Amino acid sequence: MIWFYDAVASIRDFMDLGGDVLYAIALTLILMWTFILERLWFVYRVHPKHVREIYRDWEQRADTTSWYAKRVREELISRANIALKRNVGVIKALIAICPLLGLLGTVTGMVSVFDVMTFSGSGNARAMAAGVSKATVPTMAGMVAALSGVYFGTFLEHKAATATEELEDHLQHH
Amino acid sequence: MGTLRTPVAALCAIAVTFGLFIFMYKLVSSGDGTRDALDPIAGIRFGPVDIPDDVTTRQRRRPPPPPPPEEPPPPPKMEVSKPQAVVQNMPNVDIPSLDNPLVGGEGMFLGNFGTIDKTAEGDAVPMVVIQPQYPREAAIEGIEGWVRLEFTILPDGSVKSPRVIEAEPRRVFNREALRAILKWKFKPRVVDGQAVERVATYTIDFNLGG
Repeated sequence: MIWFYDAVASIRDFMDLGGDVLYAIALTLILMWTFILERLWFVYRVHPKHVREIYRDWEQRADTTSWYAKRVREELISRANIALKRNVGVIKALIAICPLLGLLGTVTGMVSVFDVMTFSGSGNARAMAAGVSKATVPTMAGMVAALSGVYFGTFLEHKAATATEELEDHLQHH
Repeated sequence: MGTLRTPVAALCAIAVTFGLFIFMYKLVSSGDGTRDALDPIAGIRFGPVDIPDDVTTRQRRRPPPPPPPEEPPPPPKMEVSKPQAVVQNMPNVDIPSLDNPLVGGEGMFLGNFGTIDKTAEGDAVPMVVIQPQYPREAAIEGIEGWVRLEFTILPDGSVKSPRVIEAEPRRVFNREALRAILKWKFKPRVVDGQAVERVATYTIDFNLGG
């Protein structure tokens, strides 16, 4: 447990270093990863079950070539596609927000640097260091957060598209 | 199933975020504990400052007088070398005795004494010399030569009305020599303390590689 407390303490240090914007970034990161993990789970665990059900329903149909049957097939595919694409847009938006939050931190940090400079002039580098770290740390945090999400965002989008196509290919008219 | 999925994912996401922040902290922190070891921010000290207020008198002591200088050493005697009489062995030359009169009379005439015409012949001493430009064609073809000029030296030393008496080779260097000599300054002749005009000749040599 010691290492856990150590980790918590170091994160608290980090939060002090970076200022309040880091909390916003942490919140965004938690949201983003919630959606990402939920999607991954869905794609690998839930979606195959859905596909199997859809196959079974479709195979049991006697009529697969009439106009109605075609519309039913379209409906099945659309439902699966909507289920696959849920929250992917939100994930992409959160990924885009992360660096912007970092930028916000940069600006607020610079403002605090200027605050220090109005009081103590530009000679006191030690006093400005806090503001400078407040400016730079959130920038880095935003970058890391966005980098951690970019791959999964693209991957999920791609996965949704390919899974839909696969479903279309397998629902044959017979 | 759908209701359980999101909370579990949220828990996992919190763990992931935790891990990422630890990773960021590792990125930022340099070494272990150096940040804590830094001094607190150096600001203005408001505490009492120790200023020593007990007055101390400076001790002034007259420095001991320097010892009197010793007697300076006597100046070195100048050694004057005595001039030694140089005995030269003069060769015995047979000089014929010429008993001819200098002026007038009969027999051989050696010429008038003291009537050398200094104004005509080249004892012109240049004070300011400006090198003449070497003519292009002559430089290309490697021609060297000289120009003898006759001109008038004014009292202020400048040159007036130069003309070419003689040149070798002819006409190659004339123009440049004339242009150059006009910029020269010569020592004027002084007669009874007054600088006077005089006519002089001067030879300008044109040599390559000089």
